[in-house]
Amino acid sequence: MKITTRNNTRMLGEQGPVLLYAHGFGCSQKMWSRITPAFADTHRQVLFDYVGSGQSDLASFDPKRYASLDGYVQDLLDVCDSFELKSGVTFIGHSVSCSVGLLASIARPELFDRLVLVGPSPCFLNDPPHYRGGFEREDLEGLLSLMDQNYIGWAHYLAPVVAGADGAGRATGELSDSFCSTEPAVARVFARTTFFADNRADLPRVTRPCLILQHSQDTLAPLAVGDYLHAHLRGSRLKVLEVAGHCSHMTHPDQVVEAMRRFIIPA
Amino acid sequence: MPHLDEVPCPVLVTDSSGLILTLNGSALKIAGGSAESWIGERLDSLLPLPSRMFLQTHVWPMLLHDGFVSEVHLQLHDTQRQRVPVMVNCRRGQYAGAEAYVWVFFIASERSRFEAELLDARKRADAAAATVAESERFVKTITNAVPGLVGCWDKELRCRFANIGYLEWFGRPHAEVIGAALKDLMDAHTLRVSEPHIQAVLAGKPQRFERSQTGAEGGQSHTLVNYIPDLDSTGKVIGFFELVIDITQLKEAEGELRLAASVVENTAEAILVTDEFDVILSVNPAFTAVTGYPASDVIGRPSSLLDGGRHDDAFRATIQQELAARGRWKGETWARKQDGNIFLVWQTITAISASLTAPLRRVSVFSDITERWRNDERLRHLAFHDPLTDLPNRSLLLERLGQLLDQTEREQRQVAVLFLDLDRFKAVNDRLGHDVGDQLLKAVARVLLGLVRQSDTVARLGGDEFVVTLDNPESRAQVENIAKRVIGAIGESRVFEGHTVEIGVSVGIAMYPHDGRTREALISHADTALYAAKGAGRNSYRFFGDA
Repeated sequence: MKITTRNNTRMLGEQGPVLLYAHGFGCSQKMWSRITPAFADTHRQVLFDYVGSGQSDLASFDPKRYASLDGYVQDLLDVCDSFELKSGVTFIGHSVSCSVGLLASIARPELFDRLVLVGPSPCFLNDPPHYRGGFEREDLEGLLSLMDQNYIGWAHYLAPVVAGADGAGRATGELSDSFCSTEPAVARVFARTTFFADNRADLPRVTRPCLILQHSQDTLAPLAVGDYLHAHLRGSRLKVLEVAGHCSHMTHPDQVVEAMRRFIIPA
Repeated sequence: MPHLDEVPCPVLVTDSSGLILTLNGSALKIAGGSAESWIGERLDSLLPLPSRMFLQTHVWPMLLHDGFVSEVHLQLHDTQRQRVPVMVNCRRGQYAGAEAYVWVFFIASERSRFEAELLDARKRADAAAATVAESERFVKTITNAVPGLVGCWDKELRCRFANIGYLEWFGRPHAEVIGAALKDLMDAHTLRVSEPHIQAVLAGKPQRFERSQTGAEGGQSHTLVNYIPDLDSTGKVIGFFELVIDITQLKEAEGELRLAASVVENTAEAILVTDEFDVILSVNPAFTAVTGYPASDVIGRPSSLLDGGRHDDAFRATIQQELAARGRWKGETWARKQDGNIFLVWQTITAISASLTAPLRRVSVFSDITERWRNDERLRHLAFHDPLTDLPNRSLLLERLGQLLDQTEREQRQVAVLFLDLDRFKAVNDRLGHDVGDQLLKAVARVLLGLVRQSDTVARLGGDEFVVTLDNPESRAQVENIAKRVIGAIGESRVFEGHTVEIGVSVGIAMYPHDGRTREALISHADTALYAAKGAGRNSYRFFGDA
């Protein structure tokens, strides 16, 4: 299976430095559609879907590989390799992908010039008394059960049972576009991996410059999380956008583009 | 916004950041407070945390991208902060001339319940599938762990299942074996041997038989084959299960075992096996011959039923200690036969265990040595007694006297040694013959025994010499008195075979400790006194030193 098919990769533009976009949990590369036009003339822009998300190849989903962020890091590096990217990449990640990007930059520092982190959180769970990620374990279990409830409407959800197939990720074929086309069993794995991950210890190992874009009212990443990241990522910049919600790249693309420009093209 | 209030379900309008622009009366019923208090607040604040997360991770991305969402399950907080399940539709639109999102909530508990049941059914189906997978894995693990061939055949004798052992025996991969016909998998010889059993098991009768077959590595092996009919729910035979176990080693061991068993069956020694609590587990035919008990009467009973009752607890404890410490005890014990007779056995008890984990057994091998013992006793008696009178002989006299002196030394008692020699005995012997002489000696023995106490000893040294020892006589006068009575009693005339016989006796006396402290000295001094008595005339007595 070619990576381009497996991860549904796309490159926009033919010249200029590379911007590599990584979507968050519950999303797909489509969520960058309000950002990419701003760089269409100046950059090559790489988009992809993680295996199990968007229009990726569901059959390639392996619950073991994607039970830790390392599986997603490998997806990201595979995509870079498929375009033969060696250096100079600017990474733009949303939410959990910020952690994926940071881990990838630790694994292959030469590949990345810098990272833009939109709504990052190194750890969603509270870890009293010194760390407040915003969530308790039961909140995350509540999210998983809401996911179950919402995915049930899908006809194919019951199909694997009826057919006696072996559960996760074996259903093939085009899926509905709803919920960013995430297969329920896959979404459960991704949700667990995302929300139970704790990458705080990795932060000091990051050597590339980072721009942290925080939202002033963000359920998923409270302000304290941004401060924590800023304090632990050497030489990072923190910018708090006056945005309510978790998806400024969709709701306030102008602010995100503006911040990216300042970071990418130094004054 | 009066028109919104006409909508019979909660409606909210937010901007693209989720800030509430307006809401209707139904929404206020759930949220509480006034419309003014909610305007400018965030939609998030109406939702419990999990729903907020779902909103941010799923709903907003879709809404921002597609402009609508339909029938999304969420929960709302009501005024009591209770979670109310709701279904949400949202569509992008205009409000007050700007882009806005109109949220319509349905309190849909019935539908939620139905879907919860559906979800539950899905989970149960998942669990059931997992259980099936687990039980398949379980069966596979077990059958592969069985050190033998496990297979299953349908009625047309096609392979439905074969464990790893069977696959190796066939020397073919799983895919080639499953579905293949028995006749294509098995060599002609094995097939021919098995044929009648296959017919029988397909007729519903379980089969067990032995067959030799060529093993996976080529050598001949002896196997035990089990066929068990595979029945469907109506009891119809749809095939059979096969379990083949290599019993080559067992067969060889069986020969050894048979030999061992025949030794046990045929040996002259009684063999008794008990568990560690001395409950009888088995006995051999010799046991029955020796004790009179048939096996069926003793198996399951305590071995103490054979106890002859002549040993104390200390003796039994010694045996137990020895067994515990050394695993072995041997010696003589008194036992009781079924008819109640007590007999002496020579037995060896060994504690054995077939393996480290096998329970302890006690094997007792014994034989009846009563006869031998009786012979030994008789010989011992003969060695220490005069055969004619059955009185102790010189050896026994010396032994008893020695014991007596040992005690006396400690207790400061006296002992008298009376040396007797019959007068005129030789003349009687010569005149009337040995038989009369013998009868006379026996009579003298009876007379002497009648004159002394149980604790005193009468011994015959040979010929017409006797020795009497008196234990702790009260006085010299009492000794004198006894000497006189001996002389009087022996001197009485007797009639043997029509002949009147009269004899006399002379008595020499030595006193302990006055006349000597050793048995030899006492006997020697009594002898000296005897000669003095004889010299003084017949039928008299003398004390040593009274010349």
